Amino acid sequence: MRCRIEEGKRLLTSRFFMVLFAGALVVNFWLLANYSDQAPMAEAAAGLWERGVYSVTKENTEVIIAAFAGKEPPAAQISVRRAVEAVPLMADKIGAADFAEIFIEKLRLAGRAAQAVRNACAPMEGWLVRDKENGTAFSVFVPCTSDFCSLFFRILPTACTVEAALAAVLFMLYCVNAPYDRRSKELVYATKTGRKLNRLQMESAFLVIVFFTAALWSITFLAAEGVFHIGKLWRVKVGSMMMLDSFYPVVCRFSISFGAYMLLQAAMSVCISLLFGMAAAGFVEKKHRTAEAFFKMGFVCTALAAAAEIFPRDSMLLFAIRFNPVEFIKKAGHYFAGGAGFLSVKYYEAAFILCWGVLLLAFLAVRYKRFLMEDI
Amino acid sequence: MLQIQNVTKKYQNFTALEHINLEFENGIYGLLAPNGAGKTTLLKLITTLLFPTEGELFYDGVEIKKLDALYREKLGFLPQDFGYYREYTPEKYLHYIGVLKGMEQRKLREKTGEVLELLGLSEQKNKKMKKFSGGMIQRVGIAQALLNDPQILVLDEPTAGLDPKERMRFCKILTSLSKDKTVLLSTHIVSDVEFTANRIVMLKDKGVYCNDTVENICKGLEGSLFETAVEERALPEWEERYQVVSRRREGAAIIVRFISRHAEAGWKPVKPGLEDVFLSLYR
Repeated sequence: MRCRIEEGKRLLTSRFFMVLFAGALVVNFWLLANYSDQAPMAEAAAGLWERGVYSVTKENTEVIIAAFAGKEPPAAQISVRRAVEAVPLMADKIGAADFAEIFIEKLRLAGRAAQAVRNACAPMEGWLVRDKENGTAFSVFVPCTSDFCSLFFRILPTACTVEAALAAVLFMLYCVNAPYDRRSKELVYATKTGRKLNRLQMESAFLVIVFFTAALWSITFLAAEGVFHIGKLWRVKVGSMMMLDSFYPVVCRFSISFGAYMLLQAAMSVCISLLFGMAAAGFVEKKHRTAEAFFKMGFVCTALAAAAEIFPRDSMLLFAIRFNPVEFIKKAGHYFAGGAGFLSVKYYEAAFILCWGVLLLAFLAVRYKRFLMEDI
Repeated sequence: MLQIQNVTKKYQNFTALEHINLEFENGIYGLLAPNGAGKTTLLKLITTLLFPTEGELFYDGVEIKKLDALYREKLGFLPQDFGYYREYTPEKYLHYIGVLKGMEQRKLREKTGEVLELLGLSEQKNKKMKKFSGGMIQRVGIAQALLNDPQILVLDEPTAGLDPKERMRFCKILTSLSKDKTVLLSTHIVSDVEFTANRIVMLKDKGVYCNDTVENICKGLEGSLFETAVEERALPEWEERYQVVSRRREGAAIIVRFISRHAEAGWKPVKPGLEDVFLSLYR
């Protein structure tokens, strides 16, 4: 236990950790600063919630429009009035089939692959009905600012997940390969802890990865709260909400608040960074060359992304190819959600994490067992 | 007691050590051999960094493989080239190594202060190691090897980078430690072990050439070592006929120290030292 704590301390107090963490925060703050002109709209929406206006109805349309008056971003393509008036209409018009077609069009799918998407999207009809019935579909959010929605449902989650995954890879390489990189392997592996230290270092790196990801998400979203004064908007139910994402809502499999949805995205981000950490450990454990492992991993990730991109669009195998960690990162912000170009069948996230987790853990266990018998 | 029984170590097609048999009891053992003779391989086998291709190592009659961490707990090792965290202070570094060595917190604190004092590092204990000279780093390395009060202390070229004063001090420390420990000191600096080691182990041709006291080893050359003055132009011929151990210039002549089975007039017999044996062996 003390070894784990020492390794964790070493990593957490290293300049390397500080630089990575500060770098990731700077990027996220820069993103927030770029979108700060959406703040008046978000504050107005939060104000409506404070006043008890939770959903769009025919009776309160004018109240909502008045609340946003003069705060519309100049570049908005759809006016607040059009957006608010369209909400009940769009709720009636948009169905699961529309989401399937958006997905098929976005990925340019054909044949059996397209049919598979139509089948997978069919349950969304039920979610839409559910949300229309409980009023979630008409929730007041931040209208005609798809930028605001994409910031929270795409940009920030993707940024946090990519940063956390990259940091996870680097931490794992930095931690597990330290005895080799620092030329202290002979000294370290001749101690009582010996080669078991590799496993302990890996475990400490996992803890640091979890801490890094959680801290990154927390600080980023606290800063977002500071910039946009989201307040009660965290309570908005995410799910077929027509004021989200320019009429193409995030359709969540379960009825959940915006804040809880973000927490779940953060949890998924932790899982994906752990998977990348494990993969990095697998790469470096073979030859103990940090730079080589890093570039090999980069090459494999690029190859996976390219393969998923150029694979024939009429084959079911396309979905098997997309069952890889790089594609999983791309889904950040839309875990547990359908629509917006992402197919998300039931239990997809759990199946993904379980399969890859078990596979990578088994691989690491085999490598560790071999390492115990290797010459240093 | 540490026993090495019939150990062979092969690296793919290359054999580094072959059928090594050695026994180490308390005392200082000087491991002498030129570079590439298998010294480091032998030390790595003893420190569990390498596994023997054949044969086995025993500590107090038990295979060290079976003892695993229990054996390593009794081990103190200073590798030839040891890495460290440049941002660490000696105190922090020793604390880190102490944790890896599985030491108790209280004992670790006590021993850290003790070894820092012993190695003359007390005043620098809170300075970052990146500011240290090579000699000071080496002293930190020795300190970490002594930290867990090891039963077997393995030092691979420990005096590299130390100035003569520090080397003397180091030898003094070793002598005081060797009372109840097995100290294995690998070096190619003969003077480091000549007066401190109880026994000298010399490696040659992948095996153990000798394992004896300095006195007995030198006895082998007694009566066969001579010095004489030779003209410079005759030196190559001389070197062909005799095994020249060393040479030095004195005016126009070269004084050669050489080995010969018979004595001749004008040759001055010389009492052999360990360096002469070493040079004659690894010529």
